[in-house]
Amino acid sequence: MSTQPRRYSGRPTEPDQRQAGGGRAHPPDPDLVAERIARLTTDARVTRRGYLRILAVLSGGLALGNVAVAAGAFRRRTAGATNEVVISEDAAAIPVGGAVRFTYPTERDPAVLLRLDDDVFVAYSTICTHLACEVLWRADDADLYCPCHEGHFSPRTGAPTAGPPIRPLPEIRLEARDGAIVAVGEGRITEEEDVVDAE
Amino acid sequence: MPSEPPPPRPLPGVPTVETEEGARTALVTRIIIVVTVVLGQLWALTVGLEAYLSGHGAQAWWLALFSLVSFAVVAALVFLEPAPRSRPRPRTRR
Repeated sequence: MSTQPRRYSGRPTEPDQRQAGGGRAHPPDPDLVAERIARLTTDARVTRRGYLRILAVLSGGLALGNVAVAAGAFRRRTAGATNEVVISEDAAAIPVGGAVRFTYPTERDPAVLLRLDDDVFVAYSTICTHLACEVLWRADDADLYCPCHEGHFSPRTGAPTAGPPIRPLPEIRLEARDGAIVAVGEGRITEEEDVVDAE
Repeated sequence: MPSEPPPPRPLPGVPTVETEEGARTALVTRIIIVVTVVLGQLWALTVGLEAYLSGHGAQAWWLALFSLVSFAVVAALVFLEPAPRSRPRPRTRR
């Protein structure tokens, strides 16, 4: 019997049967076993340094995103649409204070046509200029209202009247053709052009 | 059988080998600082988006600059590893 004290070597010890002549015919390589154990235990969790590197990648992504926002990568549709969309074939059928929802200039851009008076029609994009929620028309209060952050817009001009929005709603130019109301363009227009005589 | 004498202990106040606990503390401190900076970047992104959508492009650019500087700070904290304070301890022979 050996009198040498046993020291921890960091490697799995061989079974005693091998020393006695028994055991398996092909014992596993201790170095290979140690390597596999080390790999399994280190891959199973994120180290502190790995976590730090993940945070660095996240930080770079946030910085790039911030630059992209400032550069206008998420720019919404621009004024300049010229396509024509018939909103209503019979403008007279729309009651005063009534509204007709439509899309302009593309199918993905909601808008609303309002009849403010007998011969006064206006149309606006209903994408809120705050955070792009859809603006609703409340006929009882004669108010364009964004439910997301309590934004309010004037139905006369599209200008914000309360809440966080700062910019007015994009206006849509209208034309009256044989009793129909047609959207013909988008963009800021003057107060006079704002009003369409349906007669 | 005579055994080897133990290594001499350093005098009090003398810089010694950085302990594993000390290195871990430094690493955790860096993680806390980086997390704080990343939270600031998240704030800058939300405020920058709000500023852009509100038509304040200049404000969005200032916030983008803030975010880039924050990233530089994070990169310095992550990739500029401080040098060890002393030589590593020699390995003992088995």
